[in-house]
Amino acid sequence: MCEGNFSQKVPLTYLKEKYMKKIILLLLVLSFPLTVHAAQKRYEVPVGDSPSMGARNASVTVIEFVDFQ
Amino acid sequence: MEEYSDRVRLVIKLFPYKYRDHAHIAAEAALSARDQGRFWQMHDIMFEHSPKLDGASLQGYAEEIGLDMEKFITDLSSMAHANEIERDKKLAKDLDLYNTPTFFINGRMIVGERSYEYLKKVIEEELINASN
Repeated sequence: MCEGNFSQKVPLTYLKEKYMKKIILLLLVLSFPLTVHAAQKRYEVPVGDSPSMGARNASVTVIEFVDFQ
Repeated sequence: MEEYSDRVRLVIKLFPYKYRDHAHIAAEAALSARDQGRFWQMHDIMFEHSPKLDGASLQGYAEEIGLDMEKFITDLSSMAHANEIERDKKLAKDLDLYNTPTFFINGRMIVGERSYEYLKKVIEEELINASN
């Protein structure tokens, strides 16, 4: 009787072990392109007539939103 | 900025937090100083003394950097640049900003305080990108 119960539990544990690693790997692979896309997102922020320093035709513009307090 | 003045442009947008007592008047003080050609002096002195940015303190800073006090006091009392400040605040809201400082380096958003080395690294990356 015990042997019958033991043989029914083994497949479930086996399935978990067999597929868990594959599921984790799949999630990691799927998350990579999303991460890369998020890092490369660029926002269009108008400069307008806000106070600035540096060359107006500079190749890099740093816009900083500040609160003095 | 001195290191990159010919290759990098730094632009300031004002995003005073509504629940900070002196945030708006400090923003007004900055723009009043801007009109008198002393924006960066006021910017530096306010950050140096923040959060001591009440009206009396701001007048002291204005005197220290040599502003026309009559014009400065008039600007503060009338909040002469309220529209410009609201424009920046609307822009921040449209961008879903929730923290200061927030940087956009050629459009790449960086939220919160960062070290000079970190910002320099990003700037250097963007300088390389721009040259390609």
